[in-house]
Amino acid sequence: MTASVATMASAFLLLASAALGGDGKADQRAAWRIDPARTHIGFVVDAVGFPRTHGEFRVFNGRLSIDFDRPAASRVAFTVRSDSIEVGSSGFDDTLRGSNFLDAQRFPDIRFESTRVEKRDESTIDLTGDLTLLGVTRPLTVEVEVKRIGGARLSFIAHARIDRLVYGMNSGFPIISRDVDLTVSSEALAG
Amino acid sequence: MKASPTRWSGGVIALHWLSAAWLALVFALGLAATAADLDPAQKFDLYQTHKALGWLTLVLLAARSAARMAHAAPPPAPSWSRATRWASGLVHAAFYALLAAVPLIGWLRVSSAIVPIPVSLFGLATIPNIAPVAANFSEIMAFAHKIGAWALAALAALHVAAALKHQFVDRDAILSRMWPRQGERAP
Repeated sequence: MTASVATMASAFLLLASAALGGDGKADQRAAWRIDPARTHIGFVVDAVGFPRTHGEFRVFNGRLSIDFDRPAASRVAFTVRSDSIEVGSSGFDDTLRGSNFLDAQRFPDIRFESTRVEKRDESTIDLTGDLTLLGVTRPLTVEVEVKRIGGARLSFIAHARIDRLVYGMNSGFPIISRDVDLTVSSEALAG
Repeated sequence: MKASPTRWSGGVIALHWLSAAWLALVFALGLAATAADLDPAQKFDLYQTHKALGWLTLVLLAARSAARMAHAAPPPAPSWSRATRWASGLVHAAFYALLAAVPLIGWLRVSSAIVPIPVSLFGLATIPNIAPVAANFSEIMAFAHKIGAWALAALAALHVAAALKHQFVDRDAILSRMWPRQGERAP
């Protein structure tokens, strides 16, 4: 059974790995590595009087260990470089990296580490973890759709809505929305 | 006693036309930046360019004022009536007032904006903000900036129309005094 799976992340992403490639072996967590070429960490922010802004984070890193038979035993950890944000204009990027938003000099990383994995149905899991942004750690639940492409490749798309005010990123509120919608689409390779 | 010049000085003429072109560009950038349906990155860049070039109009205005004061002005055309002189004086006074007020109000708007992004002169210098963050005040300044900019555009249209009228209807050659390199054709 192709079952379930695991994974993903939140704010931004990738994974790395260690371990075995034993595809589907019982009672075994397997490490998977993210394929950076097929990974995209995107976000969307809304504002009043300004077009909806789409951006992405280019530099990320992560670990993924998946137990297909016991999804709850799976683990995900991602780290994203906050200064790798890109919205299509270097001036705009610099503004987002600056102290009003990501404060990338003081907080170079955005981290997510899973604490609980729950299978919702055959292809969806709820991944709960801790997101650390601007040095503030708060729980975040990420909905992940997982699809197995053959034995050694896994595709997943994760969605999360981050309330930036919770992390102290208040700039521009309420003109700029408090919610940041995050979508991570990625493929992971066994081994 | 020094005779009155028949033309504006070269510096005044150069700054006048440079300012005209510069202001047209800044106005066009402002219109473009506020247009709907733009890509956000493009919109951001248009705003920043508008802010930088707009702030620099204050420098241009200072240079023009200095040039204007350094050289004697040619006298009004002899054929001008009192009313024409008065109207011309009023338009020019309004011009100078708006040329100072519109960029200053824009600077206040930027400074007090909910996310105050200072004016950057293309990475060469950052102009400090001149007001604390105050979202409502900033929106009022934005509105005033827009009204002022349109008033300036209307004034420019009036100024051009008057110059054309004097040139082609009244034929008083007043335009030649501000026309580059037209030398000694003034009456």
